[in-house]
Amino acid sequence: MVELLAALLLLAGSAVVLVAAVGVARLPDTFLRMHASTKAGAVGSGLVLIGTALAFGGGDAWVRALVILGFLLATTPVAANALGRAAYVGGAPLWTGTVADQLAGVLPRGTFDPVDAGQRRRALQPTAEEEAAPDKAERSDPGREPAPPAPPSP
Amino acid sequence: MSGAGPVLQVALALSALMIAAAVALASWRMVRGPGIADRAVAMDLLGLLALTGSALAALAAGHLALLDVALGLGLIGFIGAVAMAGFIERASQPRSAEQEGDGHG
Repeated sequence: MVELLAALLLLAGSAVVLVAAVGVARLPDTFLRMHASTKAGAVGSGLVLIGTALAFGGGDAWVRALVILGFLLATTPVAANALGRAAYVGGAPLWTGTVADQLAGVLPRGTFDPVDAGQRRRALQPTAEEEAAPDKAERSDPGREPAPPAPPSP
Repeated sequence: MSGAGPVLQVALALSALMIAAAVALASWRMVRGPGIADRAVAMDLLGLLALTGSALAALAAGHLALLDVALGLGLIGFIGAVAMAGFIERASQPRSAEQEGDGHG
């Protein structure tokens, strides 16, 4: 009986995780993919962990499974929140069917460009000449490649 | 519990197959993903899948120690996701916010 219940929990958890992976592979934009991955992923892993503890049956297994489950429930929302914010700030495109963007004007949207960002940071302390013409000074930065097809900075 | 019954054996095999399919799908998104954020999401999901697979392996092998591996994988996955998010956010500040002096760099 306990074995049957454990088997059912394992199968249900794996099915939920598989649905999450299908969502990550098939949904149209970053935020929808994240929505599929985090919630369904946490539930699926939790079900599999409870099934494992049930099949082991000892106090050791239950303590470990519950500790992992509590850790997952505490950290998954934090990681998802940070990743979603980073995706929005990094300029991940929204799906064309999106009806509302409530973060428009609240968070800045840039483009992900580590090379450009590093050079901007190095040029953060402007000399007098650069203060006079910041755009020109930045364009003549010697460390910069001659003409990378960089996206237009806002 | 070393000798798992036949029902549990079948359930374990089916679950492992489903996890393997999920890993294939997440890896496809990791290779394909148009932006770095998509790859970060796929990496997050892959960490979760590794945790789940580790729990299944603990049951299949009858070793409780593999559950500790699952805990470690969860920890690493969380730290990796948060670090990746911080990196993406810092590397994509628009110029105006950057010149106002780097509040939370």
